[in-house]
Amino acid sequence: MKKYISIVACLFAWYLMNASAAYNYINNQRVAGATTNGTTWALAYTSITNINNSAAGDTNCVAFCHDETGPAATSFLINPPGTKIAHTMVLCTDTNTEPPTVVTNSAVSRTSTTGQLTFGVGFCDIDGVSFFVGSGVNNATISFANNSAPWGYSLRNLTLGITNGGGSSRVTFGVAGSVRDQSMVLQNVKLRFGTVGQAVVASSCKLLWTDTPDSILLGSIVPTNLFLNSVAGQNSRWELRGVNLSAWTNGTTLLNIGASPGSCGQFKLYNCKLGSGVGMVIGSASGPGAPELWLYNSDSTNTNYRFYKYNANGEESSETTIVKTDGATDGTTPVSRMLTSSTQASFYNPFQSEWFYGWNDTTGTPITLGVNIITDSWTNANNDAWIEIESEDTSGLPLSLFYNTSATNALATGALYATNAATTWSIGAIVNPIKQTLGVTVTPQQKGWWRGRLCIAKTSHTIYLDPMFTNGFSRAYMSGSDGMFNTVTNSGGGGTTTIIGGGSTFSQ
Amino acid sequence: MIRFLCIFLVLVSSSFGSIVSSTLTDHIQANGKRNIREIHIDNLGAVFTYTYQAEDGFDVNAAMTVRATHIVGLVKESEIQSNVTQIIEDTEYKGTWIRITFSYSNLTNLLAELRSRYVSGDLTHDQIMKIAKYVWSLGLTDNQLKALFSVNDAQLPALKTKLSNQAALYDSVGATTGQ
Repeated sequence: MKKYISIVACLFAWYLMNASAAYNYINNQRVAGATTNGTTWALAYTSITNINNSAAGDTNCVAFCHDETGPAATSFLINPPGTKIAHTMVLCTDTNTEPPTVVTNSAVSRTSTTGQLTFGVGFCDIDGVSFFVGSGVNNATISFANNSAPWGYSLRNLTLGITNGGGSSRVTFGVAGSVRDQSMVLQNVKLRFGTVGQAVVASSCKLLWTDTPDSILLGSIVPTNLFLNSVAGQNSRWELRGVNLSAWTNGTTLLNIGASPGSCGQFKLYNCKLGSGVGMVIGSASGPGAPELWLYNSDSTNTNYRFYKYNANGEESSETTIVKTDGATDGTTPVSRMLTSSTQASFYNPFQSEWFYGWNDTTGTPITLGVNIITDSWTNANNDAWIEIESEDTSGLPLSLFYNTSATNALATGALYATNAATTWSIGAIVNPIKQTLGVTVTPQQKGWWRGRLCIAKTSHTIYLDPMFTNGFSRAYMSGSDGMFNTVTNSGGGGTTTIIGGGSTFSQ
Repeated sequence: MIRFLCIFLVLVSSSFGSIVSSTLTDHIQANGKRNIREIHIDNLGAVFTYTYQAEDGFDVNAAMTVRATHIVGLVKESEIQSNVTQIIEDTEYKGTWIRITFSYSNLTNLLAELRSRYVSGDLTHDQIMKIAKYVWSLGLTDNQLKALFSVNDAQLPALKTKLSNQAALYDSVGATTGQ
C-alpha cells in the first residue's frame, strides 16, 4: 500500500511539474507592439533577461533571429527560476510554430561597453543562444558565479564571448571559496576572447566540457593562458573530453596556477586535440594540495599514447625514446614514463606515478610483481623511491591490501635496490644507466585487479618507469585514473586479448 | 604614526619577483617532437616548472627567456588577486588578513585593485564593507586616500566618513556574532 502511495505521489508531482510548465517567448526582432508578456511570438519579450520572468520548468523560446544588445554599460543578470527537478530551459528556436518544434543555434545576446553578464542561482539548460559581453577597451565578464546556493547550468551549441579589449575580462565558472554543489555541463561550446590577457577562470565548481569540435570562435584572439586556477579558494573539478584546444600553441599555456596559496583545482583532459607546443602548467605550487592537471591521450599530432600529469610533487610524461625493450607498448610504439619529482616531494609526501594495472585470475598462490626502472647515474635506495602495489589479498572480502618496497620510515637508513643488468633499455641520452627491478610478493585471494605505482621521495629526481608488471601482461601502455586504456594482451602468446577501460574488462 | 610607518615600510620594502635561474631539459621523442621541461627559480626560491612538446627546430632557449618574463608578471597578478579574495571573502580570518602576502606585489598594487573593485558595482554589500574595513584599518594619510580614490580635498571628508562608517558597520556586525 505504501508503495502505491509513493507511486501516486510521484505521478502527482510529475503532473504538477509538467502541468505548470509553460512557454515563454523572447524575440527582440518582433514587430513592435504595446504588450510584451511573452505568451506568444507576437507578444514576445524583447530581452534575454525576461528569462527571469518565467517559472520553474518553463521553456524560454528565443527566436533564431534574436540579436540583442543592451544599452551602454548595462549589465545583464539572469536568475533562472529553475529548480533541481524542473530546470529552466532556454532554447533558440524557429518562430513558425507555438510551441516551436525546431531548436537552432543562432540567437545572440550582448551587453555593451562595461556591461557584465551574470548567471545567478538556478538550474538552467541553454541550447543555441550565444552570449557576448563588452565593447571597446573596457573590462567585462561573463560569470556563472553566485555562491549563495547550489546551481547547475547545461550549455550546448553556443558561444561565450568577450568582445572587448580589457585584459582583465574573464569567463568565470564558479566562485572562489564556494564549496556548494555547483555544476556546469558544456557541450559544443565555443569561447571568444578580445585580447591575450583574457582567460577562463576555473573557480569553484564541477565542470564537464565535451564534444566540442572547435573550442574557439573563428576570428577570436587566443589568450596566453586558457584556464586560470590561481586565486585563493578556487576548488575546481574539471573534466574535458573530445574538446579541440588546438588554438593554444607555442607560448600559450593550458593552466595558470599562479604562485599564491589557496587554489586547488583538478583538471583532466581526455582525448582532446592540443595545439603544437602548448605548455601544460605555469606557476608555482604553493603546497601539496595545489592544482593538478592530467592529460590522457591528448596531443597535437597522430599519437595514441601521450600522457602527462602535474601536481605539486612532480610531473609524469609519456616517453618514447628511453624505453624498455619488450616493455610497455601499444604494439607499435614502445612507451615508458618519465617521472620527475619536485622540490616538494618527501618520504611521507612522495610524487606518485599514475596507477598501472594488471588482471589476476589466480587465487591463493603467491606471486612476485616486479616493476622495471632506469635512472641516470643514480642507484636508487628504498628511501629514494619505491613501488606500491594494491592487491585483492583478503579472503572472503573485497578488501585490498597494500604492499611496498619502501624503507619502513623516514628515519630508517635507505637500502640500495639491486641493479638488474638482465633488462635491456633503449637509453637515449642517458649517460650512465642504472637499471633496477623493484618487486613485492602478493597472494591474491580473489580474482581482480592488481594496481601499482612508483613513488619518488627524493627531490628533483628523474626516474624512467616501464609502466607494467613483470608478471601478468606482455603488453600495456596507457593507464590512468579510469583504468587501463586501449589494448592489453595477456601473456602466454595466443591468449585472450583483453580491452580494459574505465575499470571494465571485455573479452574479445 | 606607527601604523603609518609600517605601511611605509611595506611600500618601500616590497619587491617584485625576478627570475634568477632558468634551465631546461630537452628529450627527443620517437615522433621527432621534443619534450621540453623548463625550470625557473625566482629570487625567493620559488620553483616554476613549465613543460611542453616542441617541434623540431623550435628555439626553446628563446622561448624560455620569454617565459621567465611572463612568469614574473603572472605571479604578481596572481598574488594581487589572491590578496583581494582574502579581503572580500574573509571567511576564515575575520578581519585579520593573515594570509595576505606581498612577495611579488606591493600594497600599492593591492590598493589599486581594491579601489577598482570598490567602484565597480559588482560587489555584494558585505564585500564592500570588507574592503572598507581593510582600507580604513591601514590608516592611510589624506594624500594617500586622495590619490587612491582620485578625490580632491573637498571630496575627501565624505570619502573618509563613508569608509569609516562601513568599517564600523563591519565591526559591529562581527561583534554581534553568536548573539
